Amino acid sequence: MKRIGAIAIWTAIAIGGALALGKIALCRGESINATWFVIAAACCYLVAYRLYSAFISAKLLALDDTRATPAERLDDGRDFVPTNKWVLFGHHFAAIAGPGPLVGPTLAAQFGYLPGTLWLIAGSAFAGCVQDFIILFCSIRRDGKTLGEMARDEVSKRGGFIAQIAVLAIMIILLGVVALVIVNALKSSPWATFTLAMTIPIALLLGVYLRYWRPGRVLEASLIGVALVLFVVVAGQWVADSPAWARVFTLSGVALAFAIMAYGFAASALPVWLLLAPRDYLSAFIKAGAIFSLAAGILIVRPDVHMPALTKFVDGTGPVFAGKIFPFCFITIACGAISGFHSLISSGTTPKMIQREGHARFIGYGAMLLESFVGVMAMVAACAMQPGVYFAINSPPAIVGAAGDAATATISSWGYAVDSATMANLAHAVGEQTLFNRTGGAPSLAVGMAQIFSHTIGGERLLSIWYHFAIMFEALFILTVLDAGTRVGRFMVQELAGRMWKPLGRTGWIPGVLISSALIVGAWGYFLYQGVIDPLGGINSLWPLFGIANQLLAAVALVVATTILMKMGKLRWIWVTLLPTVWLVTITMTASWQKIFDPSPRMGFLAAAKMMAEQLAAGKIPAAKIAETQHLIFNQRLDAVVTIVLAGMILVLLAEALFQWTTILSKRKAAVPQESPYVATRWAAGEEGD
Amino acid sequence: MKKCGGNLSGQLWSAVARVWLGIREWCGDAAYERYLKSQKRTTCTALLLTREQFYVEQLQKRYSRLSRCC
Repeated sequence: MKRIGAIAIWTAIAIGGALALGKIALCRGESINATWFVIAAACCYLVAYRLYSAFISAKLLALDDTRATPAERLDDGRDFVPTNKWVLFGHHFAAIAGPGPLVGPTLAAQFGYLPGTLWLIAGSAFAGCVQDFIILFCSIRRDGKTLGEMARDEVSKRGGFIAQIAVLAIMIILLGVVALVIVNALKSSPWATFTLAMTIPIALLLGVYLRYWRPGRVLEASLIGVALVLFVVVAGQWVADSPAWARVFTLSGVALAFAIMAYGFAASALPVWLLLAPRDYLSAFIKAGAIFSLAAGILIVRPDVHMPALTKFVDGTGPVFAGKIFPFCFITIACGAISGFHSLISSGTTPKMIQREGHARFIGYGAMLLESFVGVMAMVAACAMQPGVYFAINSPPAIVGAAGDAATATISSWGYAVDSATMANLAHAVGEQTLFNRTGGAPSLAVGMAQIFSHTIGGERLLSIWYHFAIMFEALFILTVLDAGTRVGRFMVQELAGRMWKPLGRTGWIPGVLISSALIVGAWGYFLYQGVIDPLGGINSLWPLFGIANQLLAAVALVVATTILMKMGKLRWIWVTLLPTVWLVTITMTASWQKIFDPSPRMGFLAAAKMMAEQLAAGKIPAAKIAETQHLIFNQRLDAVVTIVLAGMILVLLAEALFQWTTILSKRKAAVPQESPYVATRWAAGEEGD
Repeated sequence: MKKCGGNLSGQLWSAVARVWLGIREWCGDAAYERYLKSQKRTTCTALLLTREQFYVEQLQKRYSRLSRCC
C-alpha cells in the first residue's frame, strides 16, 4: 500500500513537471508566469534525484555504507573531519555556488528564456550532477585525492599534467572575466563603488576581531559584519547625493580595473586572517540570504516573464555576445548546468569530511541540483524585465550606439520596444546615472532582482536600495572568488616557479610571495584590462573563453570518471559519463573553431585582428588611435592562441584516454582501479560519527 | 495532555538546538570544539593548539587550496 502511494506521488510529480515544461516550451507570443519555471525545475530535479541519482548510486557506484570513509579512518580534527550531512551539504553548496550561475543565464537570456532554461535543467540532471557525484565518490574511495592526482594515477601522467594546466588556465581567465563583471557594474556608479569599497575596512575590522579579540567566533563577527554592510548599502545613497563625494567615487573602467588588481594583490600577499577570510565569511552569509530571498520573492511575486521563448538572436547576431544558439548557449551557461570547476571542490575538501559513502548522492548530486535552481532563478529575474530594457542594459555602445536615443531606436528596430524616457525613469528609480550599455550581466540581474524584491517589500520607494543591495551582493560574491582564486593561483605559480629556483617555492619568503602574487595578478589583470578597453565590451570575447576553459576541465573530470568506471568493470553503464563527455567535447571544439576561424570579425578572433590590421594598413585609423588599434590586434591574436592551446589540450587528453580505454577493453593491461583498501566502519547503521 | 505538551516543547527545543549547532558547524564557529574533542582522544593535552592558533592554522590551510568555485 505504501509502495503504491509512493508510486502515485512520484507519478504526480513527473506529470506536473512534464506539464510545466510543456507550458514553458510551447508558449508563444504571450507572457508566461514565472511559477511555471519553478514548478518545471523543481519537479524535474525531484524526479532526477529520485530516479537517476538512485540508479547511479546502485548500478554504477554501488555506494557502501559499511565502508569507512577517509573522514572516519583518518580523522584528525583538521583536514579529515566527519561532518553531519546537512552541514556538509551547506559547505559544499557554498563552495560550488559562485557568480557563474547568476551571470551565465543572464547573458544567455539573449536567445530567449527557453534554450537556457532547458539546458540548465537537462544539463544539470544528466551531466553536471553526474560529474560532481561521481568525482566525489572516486575521491572518497581514494583518501580524498584531487582531480589532478586521480587523472595522473588512473589515466596517465600527461592527463594529470593537462588537469594541472587546465586549472591554472581556467583560474586566470575566470578571474579576469569576473573582475570585468564587477568593473562594468561599478563603472560611473558612486553608490555601488562606495558600498563595495566600504566592505574592505569592514572586512579588516572583522579580521582583527576574529584574530585578537574573539578568536574564531565566526558567527558573532559575521552578524556584526552583515549589519555594517547593510548600513553602508543605505549610506551609499547619501554619498551619491553629495556632489563632492559622488565625484570621489565615480571611477572610469580603467581606474576600477587597476583598483581591483591592487585589491587582488593585497588579498594574495597579506595574511589570510586579515582580509580574505573575513570577507569570505561576510560573503557566505549575504550569499545565503540573497539566494533564499530571491527564491521567496519569485514565489511571492510570481512575476510574468516578458522575454519571448526564442529571440531572433538564435542566429548568432545577438548584441550581448556573438554566436549561434549552438554551441554558444551551452558555453555561456557553464555553471548551473555543468562546470568543470566543481570537480575541484568534489575532489577537495568535501571527500575528506563525508561521514558515509551514501551521503555522496545527497551532497554531490543534490548540491548541484540546487545550484542549477539558482541558475533558473537568475534566468527568471533577467527575463522578467521587458526585453527592450534587457537589451538596452546589456548591449555595448559599439553595437547599439552610446547615445540613449540611438540605442533605443536600434533596439526597437529589432522588435523589442524601448524608449529613452523608460530607461531614464528606470535609471532614476534605481539611483543610477544611466542604465545604457551596462554590459556584463550584473546590472541587468540587479535590476531584475530589485524589481522582484521591491514588489515583495517596500515597493518603488525601495527600488534603489534593493538594486544596490543586489549589486553589492554580486560584487561581494565575485570579490570572494577573486581574492581566494588569486591566492590559490599564487601557490600554483610558486609551486611551478619553485622547480626552477627553490626560494621562489617557499610560501613564507616575502620576495617570493610578492613576485608570485604580481605574476598571477598580472596574468588575470591583463585579461581584465583587455576587456575594459574592448569596444565590444569585453564579455563578447572573454565569457566564451571562460566557458571553453571551464568545459575543458569538465571534460578532464568526465574522462577520469569514465576511465575509473571502466576499470571497475561497469562497461554496461559507461554511457552515463561517456555521453556527457562526447557532448562537452563537441560543443567545446565547435565553439573553439568558430571563435578562432569564423570569418565574421565580431565572432572570429583572427578575422577581427585581420580587419583591424587592414584598416591600419589602409590608413583608415586616426593617428591618435593607432597605438590602441595595435593593442587590440595583439589582444585578438592572443585570445586565438589561448583558444588553440585549450582546444589542443582537449585533443591530447582525448587521445590519451582513447589509448587507455583501448588497453583496458582489449585486456592488454589489467584494469585495476587505485582504490584504498576496504575498511569496515566502526559506526553502526544510522549512527553518526559524532 | 500535559506530558504530551512537555514532549512537544522538548522536541521543539531539541530541533532548534540542532539547527543552531548546524549553523555553527556550517560557518566554522564550532570547529575548535570539534578539534578539541577529536584530539583529546589521541593527543596529550599539553600539545593542543590554543583557539587562536587553531583559527589561524585552519585559515592558512583552507585558503591554500581551491575553496570557492565560479
